[in-house]
Amino acid sequence: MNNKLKKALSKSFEAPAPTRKKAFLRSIQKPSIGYFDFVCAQAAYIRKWVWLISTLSFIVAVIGAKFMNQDMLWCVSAFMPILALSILTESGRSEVYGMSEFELSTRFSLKSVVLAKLGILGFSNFVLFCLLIPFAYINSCVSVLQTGVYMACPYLLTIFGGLWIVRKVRGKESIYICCGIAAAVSLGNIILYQSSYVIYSEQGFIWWISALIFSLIGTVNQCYKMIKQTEELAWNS
Amino acid sequence: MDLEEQYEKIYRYCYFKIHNREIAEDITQETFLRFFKSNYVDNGKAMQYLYTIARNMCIDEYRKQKAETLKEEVIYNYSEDNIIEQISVKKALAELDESDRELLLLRYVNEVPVSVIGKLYRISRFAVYRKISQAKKNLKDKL
Repeated sequence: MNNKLKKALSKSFEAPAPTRKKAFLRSIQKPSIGYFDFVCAQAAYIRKWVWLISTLSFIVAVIGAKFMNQDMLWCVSAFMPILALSILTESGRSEVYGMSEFELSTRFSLKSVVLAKLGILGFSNFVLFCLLIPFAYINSCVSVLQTGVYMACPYLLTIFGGLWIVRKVRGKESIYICCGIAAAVSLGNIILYQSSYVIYSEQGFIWWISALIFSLIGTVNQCYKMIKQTEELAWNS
Repeated sequence: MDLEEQYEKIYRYCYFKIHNREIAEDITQETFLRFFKSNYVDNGKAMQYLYTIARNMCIDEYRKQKAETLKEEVIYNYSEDNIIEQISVKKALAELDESDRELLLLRYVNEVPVSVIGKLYRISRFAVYRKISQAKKNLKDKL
């Protein structure tokens, strides 16, 4: 339809000017969204496969520990980087699809969105950890503390490496590299378990603790830097 | 969502349906109040819900007032340079079906996306495109 006809149409449908518009718009208060509602709204935007991976890792642990009477610790531990990958893909989604600059100027800034998503996934993964530890512990010959450390270490190591990549590499490449990191940590875990039982013994535990502390400090540092990076253009807030 | 712009558009739509300035404005304001009271705010479907509420309220009003005449004298404000074209478009529109006129108003005057129109009428995007092109053809035939 040409512009001339469009204009003529607009004129033909023209209604008499509203008389109470200004007073109404002044009186109307757009309801503000609460923090809880905002977090719930963000939870809806997390992709389904992220929740699927969490469910799958739980099912694997339950089946292995409860029905197959197998030591599932190494398997659950190897699954942790995949779980971490789900957080990484969500945290870097705006960058990957080139929407970060746009989201910096939206009603809810990129920083709040990233924080909300990281918070939701972090909390859900923590709950999952708490549920997985008993199942991974049942048939293993290590203590509960060791079980927790064996599971948390590959998870945090992947998060640390992944967040560094998400910050440094732009676009989809960052996700591919994160996949590589997750696969490397997961495979490395399996190979170490298969080749040397020392790693999963009392003697090797000090290495796990060291790696856990290193990953934890690295993850906290990367999270801080990532939040700072999303604030770069926060002139609109 | 630009509240002021949407107010104008919803009001124009209500006026098209009701032909009464006061009632159209009442419905427009009630539409926004209902919209803000609902859970639809901030879920990304604002236009769809606004038009659905407005349309339903216009239908209710139409049923309520069926016996009464709602026609109001419309004052047209034509500019001198294209007065003939505007009159002919107005005349052609008057000869079209109500549904064709509504579609043209929504799509070309209020610039409602095809997906929203589809959801408003509960028809597919393809059907909306087909109906719009038919309405355009009918309008051009009458011109």
